[in-house]
Amino acid sequence: MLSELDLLACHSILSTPNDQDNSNSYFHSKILVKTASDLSLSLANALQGVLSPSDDTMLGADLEPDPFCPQTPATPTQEDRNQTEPRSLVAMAFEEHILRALKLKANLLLARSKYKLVFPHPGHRFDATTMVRDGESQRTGSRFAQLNGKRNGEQELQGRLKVKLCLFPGLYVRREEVLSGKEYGVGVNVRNCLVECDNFVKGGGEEGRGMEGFSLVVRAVVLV
Amino acid sequence: MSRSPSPCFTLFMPVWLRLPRVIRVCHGSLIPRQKKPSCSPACPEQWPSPVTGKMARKSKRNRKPQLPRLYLRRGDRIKVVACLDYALEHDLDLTSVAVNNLDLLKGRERKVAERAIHGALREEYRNYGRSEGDISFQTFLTEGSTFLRYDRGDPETLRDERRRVIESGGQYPPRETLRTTTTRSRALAPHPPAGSDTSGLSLHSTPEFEGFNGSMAWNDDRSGENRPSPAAAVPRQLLRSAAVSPASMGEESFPQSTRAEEVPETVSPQTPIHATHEVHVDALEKELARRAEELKAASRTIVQQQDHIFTLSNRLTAAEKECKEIERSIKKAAELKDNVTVQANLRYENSVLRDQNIKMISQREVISKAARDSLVPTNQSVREEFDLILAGLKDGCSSVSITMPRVARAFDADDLNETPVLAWSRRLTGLTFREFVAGAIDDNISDIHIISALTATATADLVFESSFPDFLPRESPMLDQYRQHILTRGTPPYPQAPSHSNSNRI
Repeated sequence: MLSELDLLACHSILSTPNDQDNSNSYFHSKILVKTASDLSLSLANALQGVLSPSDDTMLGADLEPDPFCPQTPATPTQEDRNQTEPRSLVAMAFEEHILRALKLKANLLLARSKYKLVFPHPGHRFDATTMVRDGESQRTGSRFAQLNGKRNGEQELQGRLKVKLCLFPGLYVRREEVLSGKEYGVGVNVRNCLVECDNFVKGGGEEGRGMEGFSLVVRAVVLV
Repeated sequence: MSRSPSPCFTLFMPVWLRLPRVIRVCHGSLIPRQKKPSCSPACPEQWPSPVTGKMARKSKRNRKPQLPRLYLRRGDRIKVVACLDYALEHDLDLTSVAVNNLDLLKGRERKVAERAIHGALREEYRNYGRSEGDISFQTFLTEGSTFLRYDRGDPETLRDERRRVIESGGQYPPRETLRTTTTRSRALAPHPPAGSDTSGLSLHSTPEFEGFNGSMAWNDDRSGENRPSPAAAVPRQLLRSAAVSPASMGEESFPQSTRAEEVPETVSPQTPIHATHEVHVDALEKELARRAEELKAASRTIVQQQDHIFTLSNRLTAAEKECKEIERSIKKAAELKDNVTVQANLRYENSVLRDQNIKMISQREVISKAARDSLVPTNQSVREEFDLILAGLKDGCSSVSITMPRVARAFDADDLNETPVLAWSRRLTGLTFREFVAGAIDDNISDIHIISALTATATADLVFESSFPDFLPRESPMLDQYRQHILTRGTPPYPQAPSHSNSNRI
């Protein structure tokens, strides 16, 4: 009962429409956007030595004052612009995919399951059942693997392929055991009945370690 | 009194025979008093003409020593007057019955007894009779005696004579007032015994004497033989009771009437009887109202107790039925205890019920899982989302400029500090960032792919493996108290919440 109530409460929080924008909930229109912006900025800060805005026009266009709003208060100084604006521009480049990832993460909250992201390390043998080459969609790669799996020659060819780099991890899921009737009552932790926000298992970048009970959902995208 | 009267003494015989004893009793009970009471309303000598002041002192000096005064209580006076009423009712000679029978007494005793009876009659006459201006007490007494001596053979003549006497006087109070007195006495008297005299005469004329222990009088004096008529017996009882000591008579024979009659006497001996009656009626009405209230309260209590008894009886009946059912079941179980077939059937039913229970639990779990899965995106939608995320990530990486070699050296200097990039690199390849970059360049991997992989690792770390949106660690004192209350009441203390690293907390 407590588990179902908490599940419905979380669903209500995530999907309650906003007063101003009925199409999106407050969570999606406000919290997710702000969180995505913060995370992208954190990413830009972490990679500040690697990434920079692509060209000056992009930077200059953003630095020009708004003609429709000439008296913008608290105009940053030139030094501040040099320090902060490139990071924010880099952050804006990754904001879209981070926002989408956050939405997916929020939707996966309501499943009483454990997820795990697996990065095949370079040098590992390519496995078409758990990996897909870059440029192929998940469905195409699966069909390709099924069609070519019967051919011994290509199977041997695939067996000789090795992973150069993992571009995107694979996703595995493990269904959590639902509390049976005898487990309800005294001795059951309240946290076991609540929606678990950190439902992604951390670490475990290599395949085959601590993967008992997990099943594949999304294959990893790799370069071979 | 061993002397048995002859049958010719039909009416007056018992009176004549018993009067000496009556007077003896009367003499013993009417206690003479040497001193005059200060103000006793019961003193008959004071009622006609109270004497005060010098005249009283002169009269004391001139007069001879007076006889000891007699004091009759109100109840005794009523009995004496009731005797007069009885005599009038049954056409008896009052003088013969009450006064002349005192002839056996002599001297002082006779005078004392006569004065007591006359005083009572005088008082009754004063209270209930005509006013003193109309007729004197002596005239009243003579009139009554004359009337009683009239020819008893003709009832019509007797009735006419009575009517004449009444009309001449305007009213005939003794009879009626005594009726009132006897009625009151009847109301206050205890119920008659079952074996009391039920003749028409006694019932009609002397109802107040039904509870006067008349049977004791018969058994006491005559032992059941030569039973006198009630007409003669009742005056004897009247006189006897009137002559008994005031204390014993008032408390034993007429306790309630005595208490009832004491009220008007304490007010004033000169108060008119109707005023005393009003006071008495008021007191009685108040008493009646109080008793009515008590009766209502008692009735309510009785109804409540009856309801309670009814409820308890119902419960008792139900409990008895259940007890019988249980006993029947026990008997049946004892009979079927060794029945193998029944035991096998019970085992089979038990197994069926257990299977049904397991099925229901599994169905419930399936339903709850289905309800939960309906809120969760399917695997296909997850795959599509992953493709879109990867596409967006690539777009982002292509929209920025990458300066890889220079940065790789820079990250080498930070190996000891465990920067996020280094952690992501190890997560991705198991190598340091410099090793990762060097290997990627050797494998002809473009910078965009390197940054894409690194960004994907960063996304997995910052987004998916974070605690977002973590509602639990939010600071809320009320929610903390609520959780603590639930934990202390419902579950044992739970372990501390897993500590989230600052890098993962949003």
